[in-house]
Amino acid sequence: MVDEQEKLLPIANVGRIMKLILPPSAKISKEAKQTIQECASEFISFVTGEASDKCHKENRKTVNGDDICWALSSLGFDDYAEAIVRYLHKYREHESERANYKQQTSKARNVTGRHDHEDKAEGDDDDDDEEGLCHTDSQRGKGTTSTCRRHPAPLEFRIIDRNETSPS
Amino acid sequence: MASSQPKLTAINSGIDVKTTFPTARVKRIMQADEDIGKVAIATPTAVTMALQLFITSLVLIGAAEAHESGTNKITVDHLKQGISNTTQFDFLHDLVNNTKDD
Repeated sequence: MVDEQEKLLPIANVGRIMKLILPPSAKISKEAKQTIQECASEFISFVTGEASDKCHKENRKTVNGDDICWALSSLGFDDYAEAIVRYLHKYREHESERANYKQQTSKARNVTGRHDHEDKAEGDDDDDDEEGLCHTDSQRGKGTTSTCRRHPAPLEFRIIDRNETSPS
Repeated sequence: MASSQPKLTAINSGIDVKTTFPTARVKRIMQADEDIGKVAIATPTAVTMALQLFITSLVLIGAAEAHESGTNKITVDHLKQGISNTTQFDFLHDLVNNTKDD
């Protein structure tokens, strides 16, 4: 039996977003917060279901980021889709930098590297949390044969770009 | 606050939202539906991004309704009102209409 709370996002996240975007004098009732929490889960199911249907129709087993973007557009959330497409682009660049880094460090160590299955499979939940939103600038890979232990910088993504305005 | 703007959305509000979301929980919610099979690693993160935008929109809509009715406290009623005025959120109609008012 799945705990009811497990089907919902932590309510603290709703409160936190509120604090960030509304003036300090704004308040929200507990029930309204809970309603938003439920709407969030509904949104996840709604978008994921649409993305999953597309995969089934195309005989694919794995739902990927592009499917989510497609689903968002298809369901009337074009503006979200654009932002996420940009993120996925950065994510893939970041991933290939990481892959290069791993290749270089394993060469440097003269180890027959074990291959990390990074993409297109059900991964560990633990990894996901670390790959989420990070706060520092990503840099282009320097491509040096490195004995230096510098890890590629974590990926930064600002969902809402101050410099851009939505066309609508 | 840009209260003079007729429609303030998550995208054009110019607000930088960097909260940490439990991506693992998002993934579990996604897979609560039995029809959903495997998901690629980046997928829960993409969904989380969309979620942040979505929750931001919902909060802003509720705040706008509350402001319209001259209060600074957002209630379920404000959310209901805002949702029924927003075609993007049609899918939420049933969910909120079955919600008790506070």
